[in-house]
Amino acid sequence: MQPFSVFSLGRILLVSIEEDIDDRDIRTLEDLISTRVAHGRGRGVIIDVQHLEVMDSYLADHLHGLARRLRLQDSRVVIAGLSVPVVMTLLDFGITLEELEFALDVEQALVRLQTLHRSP
Amino acid sequence: MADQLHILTLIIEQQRDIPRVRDKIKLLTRALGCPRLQVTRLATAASEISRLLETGFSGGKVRIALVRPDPEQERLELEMAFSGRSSCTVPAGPDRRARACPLDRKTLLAMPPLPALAGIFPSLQVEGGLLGAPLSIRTRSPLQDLSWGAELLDRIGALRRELFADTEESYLENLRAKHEEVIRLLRDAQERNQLLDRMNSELLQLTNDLEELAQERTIIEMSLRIADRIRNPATVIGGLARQVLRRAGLDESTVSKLRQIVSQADRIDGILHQFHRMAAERHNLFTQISLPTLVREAIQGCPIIRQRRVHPILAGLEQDIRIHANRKILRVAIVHVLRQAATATPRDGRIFITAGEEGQTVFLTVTGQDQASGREARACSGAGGPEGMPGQVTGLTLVRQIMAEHRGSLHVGKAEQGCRYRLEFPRTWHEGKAAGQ
Repeated sequence: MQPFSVFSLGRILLVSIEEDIDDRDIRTLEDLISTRVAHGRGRGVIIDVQHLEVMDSYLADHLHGLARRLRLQDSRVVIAGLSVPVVMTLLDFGITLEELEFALDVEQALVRLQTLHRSP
Repeated sequence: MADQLHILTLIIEQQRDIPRVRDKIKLLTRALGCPRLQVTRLATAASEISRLLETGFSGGKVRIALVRPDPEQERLELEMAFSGRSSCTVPAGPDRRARACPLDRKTLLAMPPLPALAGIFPSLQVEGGLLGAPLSIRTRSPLQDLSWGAELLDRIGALRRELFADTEESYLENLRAKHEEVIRLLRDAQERNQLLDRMNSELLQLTNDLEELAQERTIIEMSLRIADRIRNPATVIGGLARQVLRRAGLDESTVSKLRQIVSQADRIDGILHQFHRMAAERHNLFTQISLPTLVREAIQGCPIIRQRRVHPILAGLEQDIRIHANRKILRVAIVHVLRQAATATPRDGRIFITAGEEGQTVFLTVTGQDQASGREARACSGAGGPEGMPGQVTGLTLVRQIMAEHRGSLHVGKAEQGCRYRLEFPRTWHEGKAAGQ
């Protein structure tokens, strides 16, 4: 069983990452999201990481790469639910999540995506 | 000596091993009751270091253990000791994660994630990683609400079973890792034995030097004392015999006996001259020598400086400072002081060696940097610690004796970050000022 799940909310993809995602699953997830967006099924992607306890540079790099690619496909990525320990550790390790949008939870992420798509 | 309780050793060979290391750390730290932030930090650190080893050092292994740094206290720390399998193999390339192999320690310590680790773990230790040496990284993190004892051992036993439970492979890998560890321990023991052998040979050399010094001193003292005692009676006997011989009317037998007395008195005089020659020869061992040259020779002849990679910082040695000294014997004293300072100084640390002249005194100071914030003067006299040579204090007594022979003195005191040894020599010798004379 894959440690992530993907739901469609209209033209928005909601991806929920489980705690024990490994490097191979990260690559699989990245490919899956890219394919779904390429097929016009998402103008925005919410990645819910509230269950994630560790975000290392590998996952951060892949999220950053995904965001860059989706941007070229007129789609935005919003990371929702980063926990305080994860945020503090990201800062400790100097791991940056460029070109990504952030929201406290999925609800706020939805609002954020709608705002982003309304603005020119 | 810190107590250690090995928990788990994991092999890092492939990319898929990295999440496993991370997960084991997460499980372990959670089970040990660490706060969430600490769990996240330690698991992220384990992940980042494992990735560095996997991408740049052909993999390696991590040894996870509980450590009690001070056996007198209950405080516990979680230690993660990572060691790379080979020297650096990082390919230089355009990839964001690819970095060239470091050529110096500064570049090595700037490699991600090392700067971040240094901020998180104050006791971070990074060794090797340069010039073909495999990289090893050791981190320690304090654990709250845990104390060393039977209960902890039971708990760790259960934890081990849980951590091993997922795959049989873990067991095999751990057996292999333990086998490697036994080999490493044997190698360490062999290196320590070699070090002991070296120390023994240094001690033997020191003993020989001491004996030589004592022998020289005994000979000269005996020679001068005997010469002084015999000179006057021999002169009187010879002189009187000559006077009597000059008188007329002595029979042949008396003249013959008087001539024998004169001849024996002359022979005694000859022996006295030999004693004086011996004294002069000994005196010749003391010549005008260059102190900076002698100090440089002593640095070369002090192996512990190289072994501990201690950097000597020299000042004032570019001057031509000359002293009246026995080169061979004084070198023993300077080597001993250097060894004393280098032993108390941490690896890759510095010792400061300064020479100069103050009025009628020539001085040489050697200052070490130990990890304490300065020691009391008395503690400095016994500096060296457990890794030092046995008999350090005896060695300082020898140094004092040698300095007395040179009509100088040794002063031991505390410096800002260690101990300072100051050797003082008179610029010119004055009769009867030497200690013990």
